[in-house]
Amino acid sequence: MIAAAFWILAAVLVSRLYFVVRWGASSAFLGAIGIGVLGLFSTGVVVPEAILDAALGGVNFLHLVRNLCVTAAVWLIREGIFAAYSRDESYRSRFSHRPLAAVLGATAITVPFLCQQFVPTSLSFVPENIHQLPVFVYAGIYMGILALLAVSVLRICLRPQESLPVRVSSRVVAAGMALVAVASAEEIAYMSAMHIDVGSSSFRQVLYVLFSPLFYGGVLLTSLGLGIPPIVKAWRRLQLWDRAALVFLTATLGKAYWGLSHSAWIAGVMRSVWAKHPSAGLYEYVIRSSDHKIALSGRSTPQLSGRVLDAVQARFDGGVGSLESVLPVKAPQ
Amino acid sequence: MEQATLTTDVIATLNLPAYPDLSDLVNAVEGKYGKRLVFEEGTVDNLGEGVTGQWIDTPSQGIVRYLRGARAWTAHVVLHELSHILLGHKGKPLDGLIAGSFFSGIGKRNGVSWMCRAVDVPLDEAEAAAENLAFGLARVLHATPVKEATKAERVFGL
Repeated sequence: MIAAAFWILAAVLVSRLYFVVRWGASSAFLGAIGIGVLGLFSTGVVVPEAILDAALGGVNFLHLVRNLCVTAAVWLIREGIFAAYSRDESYRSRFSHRPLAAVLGATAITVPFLCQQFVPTSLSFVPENIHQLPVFVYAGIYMGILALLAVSVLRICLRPQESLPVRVSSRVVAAGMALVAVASAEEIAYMSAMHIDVGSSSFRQVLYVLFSPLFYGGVLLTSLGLGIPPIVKAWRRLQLWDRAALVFLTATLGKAYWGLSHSAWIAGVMRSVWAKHPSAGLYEYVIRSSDHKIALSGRSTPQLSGRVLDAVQARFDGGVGSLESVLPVKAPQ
Repeated sequence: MEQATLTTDVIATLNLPAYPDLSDLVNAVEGKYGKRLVFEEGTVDNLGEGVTGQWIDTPSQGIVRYLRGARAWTAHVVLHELSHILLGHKGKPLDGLIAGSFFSGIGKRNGVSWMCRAVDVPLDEAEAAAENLAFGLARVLHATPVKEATKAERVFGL
């Protein structure tokens, strides 16, 4: 799940970068996604954690870096979503949106971490060192801040939104943030139980096991949610439905409709793939189809091609009003 | 002149609104034509076998006959006939048409000229130019208005 989240978020980062560079799309969320990728990279999905942590001194600084990355990423997602949903910039004047608040949050996480008795790299750093008050405070503050940020993002993502792609994207992010918030609260409960030594071992074990699927499931959903806008943008830009329909119609009807030779038909299919205006090509098929019905009524259209043509035809028919309503019609003689 | 350029140039002279409908286009063509246009549904009997549309130029008005079919297709037939008018094919009734049996009774007669859109004969230069312009006009008619992105859509990168 962590690996899936990492690769999805990396793909989202690359696609959003492309849209920003190529088409001048908004650069909001780029920072959040980039830092999120860095945070997930630090979980050892590509390079083992031990090697990364060794480069940082071999005393679990990687844990701090990862947690700061996650916090910063969620902070930036929150800023992006507030920017999208707010009518004006007045929300920026609130303390919780000021850079100072972010710096204070990072400091509140970092200071207790630095106060611990450092131990060698451990893949279970928090569970093994939760008896240390600084580690408990460090992890508790981190999870607390993350839960607050996640709830804040969740709340704004559930506001009414006119745009369908934005609505779907933010709802998926909201679902992810809900899981992150639950995971954070659950982790605080687990760490508290461990630190003050309450609850049965099976209860603690359940809490421990629940964290990863909740937290990384939330990260995965958030990554998917942030990946929806680039997919929609690419879909629109590339006119994928029209392109697919044009390729299909050229492949199935090109020879019959235009009398193409085999090589011209292959070239026609290739041109359909790269057509600048696939809808113009579809229009030609719609016209040609009716021409054939008039002039060559004996020829039949394969069923599936006919259904694609009908769908395209309905679209073009819908764009033209009733002729009688727009044209001065000559009185019958 | 290259057909694509010709099509672009002719459309540019029409001064159409941003997203015109068929009546906007007819008004613009009437302005160029200098006569009123009337439209009537044709039949195989008065159009001829395999002929889908016809423009009859009379001294007082233009008559466009179209065969009834799917809505977009019928509009395209009308666009083809309007294209003949815009391309100045008036007065050269059989110009470029490859004579088929169904054209035998068509010609310039008593100041009346005819242009047809046939579908089962090869298109010659005049017909090809009219058809090309018809596709260009159709592209203008079917253009989807560009919807301005909302603030949320811009931020989300749409």
